[in-house]
Amino acid sequence: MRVKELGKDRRAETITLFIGPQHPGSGHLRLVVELDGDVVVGIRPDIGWVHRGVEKIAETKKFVQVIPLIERPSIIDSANMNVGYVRAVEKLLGVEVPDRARYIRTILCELNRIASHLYGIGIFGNMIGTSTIFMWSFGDREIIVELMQELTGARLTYSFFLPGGVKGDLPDGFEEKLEKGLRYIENRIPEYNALFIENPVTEDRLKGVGVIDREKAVEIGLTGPNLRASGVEYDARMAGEYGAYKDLGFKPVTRPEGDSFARLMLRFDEIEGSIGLIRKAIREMPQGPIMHERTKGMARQVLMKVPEGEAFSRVECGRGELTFFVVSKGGDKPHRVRMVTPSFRNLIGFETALVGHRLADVPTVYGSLDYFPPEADR
Amino acid sequence: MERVLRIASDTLKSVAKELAAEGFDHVKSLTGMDRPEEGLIELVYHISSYLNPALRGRIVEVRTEVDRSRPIINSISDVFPSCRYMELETRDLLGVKFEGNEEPDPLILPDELKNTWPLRKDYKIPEEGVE
Repeated sequence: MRVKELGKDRRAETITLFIGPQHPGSGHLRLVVELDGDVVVGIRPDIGWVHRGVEKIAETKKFVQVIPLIERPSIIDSANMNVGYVRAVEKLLGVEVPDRARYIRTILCELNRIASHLYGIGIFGNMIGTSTIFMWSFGDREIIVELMQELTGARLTYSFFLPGGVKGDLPDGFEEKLEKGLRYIENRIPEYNALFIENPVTEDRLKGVGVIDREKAVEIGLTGPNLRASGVEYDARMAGEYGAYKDLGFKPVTRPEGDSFARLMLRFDEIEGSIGLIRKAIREMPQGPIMHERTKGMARQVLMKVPEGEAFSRVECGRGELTFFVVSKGGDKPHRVRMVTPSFRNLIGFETALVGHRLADVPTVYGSLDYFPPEADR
Repeated sequence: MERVLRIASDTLKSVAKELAAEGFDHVKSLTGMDRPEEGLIELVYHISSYLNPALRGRIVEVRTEVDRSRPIINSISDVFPSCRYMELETRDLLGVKFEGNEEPDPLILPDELKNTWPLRKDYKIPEEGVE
């Protein structure tokens, strides 16, 4: 977007202020804010600074090579990106994932959700000037990252789910380490409460700020915790199309307020929810194979030809619903991979939540939406 | 997909309005697909409902085609604001003009790629060599 044109055609009594693309917290987004005094009267997000053309690159890669690619837009939530894509490919292949693999997927996805929420909470804390929370949640996230590394061998980009199953089983002694880690996170939440949440400064800055009511949230198509914090009971995990969520009796959490505080609290609620899901998954996990016979072995994965067809998949990432629409022409490379990420869908929330607020509320709303620029830009 | 609607591009808006009246309330995904051999660009909308308990979780797929040499279609972002940015992205990457949802500058592409359509099949990916 050309800088000189952005300030054009504005009423003389308002000021156009550029925030970003170098960014106060998490990434590369420019907000073009129109101010009357210090009241926001208009806001336009300018995105694309970290657009990498994932959908185009995907057309040049083999099906299995697309996995690390589609993880990159959101490396802090890569397992959830991964599962969305492999579900679409599995639908095209007509392959059902073995039960044990579904449980392992659920465990990694939920661990990744906790890590993603801790990341979002930390950035949010940093944006509103509570750098202690940034340090705390990044430190605590490390516990989860270590667990995921133990399971997959990688800190952030796991590529652990392949069409037909998962790469490996739980390592020896993983259950004990996992339980220890989950207990640690659980015990930390009251400390976050005491320092951050029940803090009058946090409450003053977040409550009633950036309210998106239920009808508006639906109309603009918000997704994920931002949608559920506006009282809408929808979570892609409810559909039971992947993982073991159906067997585990997954129920989404909602909050009615729709303000920045509710969006923050919903992430804490979901961390607790994920801890519960992981424990239940560990308890109820069946024995058995972790990969479908037809896709077993690296050679089958690499030489994989996918029958002609189209498949649509949806999964719930940390930030909301991710959809894939994968088209195959029968070859070893996808003909088209369409990826609509939760941050891209939540982008519209900036305009809805910010108009009428003061300039100082911009970081509050930004942090509360947990918007992640690389995820939106792809 | 449970329900697929194949429609003519000029009826898109009225179909969107009918779906909205039925209780569908948001667009999950808009995909543009280039089909140069037929001279078409296909647009696939995945529309669903958050609020209507009978429709929640259901997805309806709306498919339509536009002429590749004159890819113009009505925007449905007034009916479903949730697809506003998806339309702009599809404009950037495939060159489809959504009438009623127009912004002068690219949404996600840099200015120097304006009026090139990377997701069209005839787009040549520039290569950097060592010649």
